[in-house]
Amino acid sequence: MSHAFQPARNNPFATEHLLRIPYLFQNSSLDELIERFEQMGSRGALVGPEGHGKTTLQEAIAAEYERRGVKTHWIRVSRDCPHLPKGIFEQLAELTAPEDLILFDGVEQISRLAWWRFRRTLKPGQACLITTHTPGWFPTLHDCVTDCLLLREIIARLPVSDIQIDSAEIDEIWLKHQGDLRQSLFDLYDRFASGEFLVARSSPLSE
Amino acid sequence: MLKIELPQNERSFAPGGTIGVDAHWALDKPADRVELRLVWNTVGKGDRDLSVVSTWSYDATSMNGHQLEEVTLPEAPYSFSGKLLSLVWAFELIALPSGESTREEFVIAPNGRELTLHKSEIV
Repeated sequence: MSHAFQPARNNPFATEHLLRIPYLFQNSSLDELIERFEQMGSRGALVGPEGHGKTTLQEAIAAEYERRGVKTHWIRVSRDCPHLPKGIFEQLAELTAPEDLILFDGVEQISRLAWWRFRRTLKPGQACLITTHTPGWFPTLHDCVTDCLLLREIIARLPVSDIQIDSAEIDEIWLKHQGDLRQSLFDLYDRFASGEFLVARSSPLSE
Repeated sequence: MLKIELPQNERSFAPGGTIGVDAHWALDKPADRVELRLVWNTVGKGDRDLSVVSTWSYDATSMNGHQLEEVTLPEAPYSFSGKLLSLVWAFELIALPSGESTREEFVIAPNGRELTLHKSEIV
């Protein structure tokens, strides 16, 4: 095992590599989810804990709607930035059309009063897809879950063909982070940066 | 096909130096224009920063072409790498609106050596 320092630009777990990996569907497809979303009246929630792919899936759905010519509008709230943008309700009312899709990432961060105001601002028939850690805001469109196999598949899609981590170690990392893929991949980033893994490259990273 | 050629295939340059950059394009479908961009970006853990420092734009009325640019490189920031972050300089050649692109990375630093933010040598 090598313990040599590895520069960030050679780290296969760097953000730029992870962003190229699309949402990996396990028991459904993008088309099936969109069909179900529309059957639900185009109001639904992607539910799951942090690091379980909710936002990645939401972005995949938004991209498909945009490809179909639908205009999308994003509201993003997080634990680090839990406040709704100033004037958001007025903007929603004035700048969006009934046929647009509203995407709200991180609904659980706002108060029930703000949620009530948000719902009242949506136009009749306007599509809205939210992400949340807890169910009960909108009907659940999809429960985002992860497993060790998913983490293994993500690693397999990174620009390395022979990253020398055994499956048991991947499973251990996934368990340690309770299924949070983001934290698992950060952990792998740190391990690689510290030279814990020997890696044979399948395609040249920046030299 | 999009291709960027740097002088003598050199990949390391001193800050403020002047180099010739040859941009070639042979497109499969018509484009509005082709852009050569001098950029730096960060690579690592967390959000990615990107700065477009200079842009040269060419009409792509002909689907094949090339353009030689004399480019004066910036004085800063230097290329560097640590465990958490690297700063990488690159030329990018992009056909618009298709977005087809290619990229050539290089180092800008004193003596042409990327700065290492670590006590041991980079492998």
